[in-house]
Amino acid sequence: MEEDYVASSKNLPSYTDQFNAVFPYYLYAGMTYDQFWNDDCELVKYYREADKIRQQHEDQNAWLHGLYIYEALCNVSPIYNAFAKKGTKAKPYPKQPYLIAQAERESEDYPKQQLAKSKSKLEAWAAAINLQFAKKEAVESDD
Amino acid sequence: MATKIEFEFEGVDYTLVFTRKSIQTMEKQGFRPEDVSSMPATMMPMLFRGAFLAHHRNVKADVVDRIFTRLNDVEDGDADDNDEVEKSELFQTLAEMYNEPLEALANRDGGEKNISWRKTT
Repeated sequence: MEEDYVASSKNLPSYTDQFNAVFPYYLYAGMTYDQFWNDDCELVKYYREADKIRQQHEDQNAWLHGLYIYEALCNVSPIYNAFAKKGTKAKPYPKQPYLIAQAERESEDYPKQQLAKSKSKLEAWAAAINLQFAKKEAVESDD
Repeated sequence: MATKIEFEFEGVDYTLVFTRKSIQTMEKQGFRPEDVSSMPATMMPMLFRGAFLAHHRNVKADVVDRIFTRLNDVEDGDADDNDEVEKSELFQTLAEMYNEPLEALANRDGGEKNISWRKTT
């Protein structure tokens, strides 16, 4: 039994061989030669974790890229409809990136900005109505 | 972070630690962890000297040997029967430190969940 254990343990790769096998991955993850071979041996755990975060970030970017392409195709699709009415236009491309638009919505000033926009729209609409009434009265008075 | 052994000897501060480079050097010099049990007289001093390679490569061999002689009775200052226990604790610690660079490469973050257990009578 003990001889079998000793024989099997001698067939195991050396520590150096195992280090050399994973060394390329940690170079890819951003470690330098000195960090891997001479620095704190626990450093590799944090580089592994950082690599996972980087992969998640790249995956999220790819997803967002796909979303932009999807929306662009959807916005343009009306004009590619063979039975579309004359004058059909494509929907406009988003004015802002999604993340900036979301950051603005979540900002503290967003409700105030929305209120100011709504107020100016309402004032413009009220002015237009008043102008219509004034014109109508002028026509009636001429009669 | 990595386990270290720190002490002061003849006015010099020493930090013993194993890096991957020091393990590579030890293997080139003939150190084999699986031979520690079969050749303890050879391998254990090699293990101790190997811990100096990372930060104290140029320390002379006789200084290392004197440190080795004095280190195992640093707990009580006397050469008594407890020295054997202290020496085995020292080598147990060194063996754990020697394995740390390899164990750190094992991905244990997203692995299996720990098994919860309860005692019943």
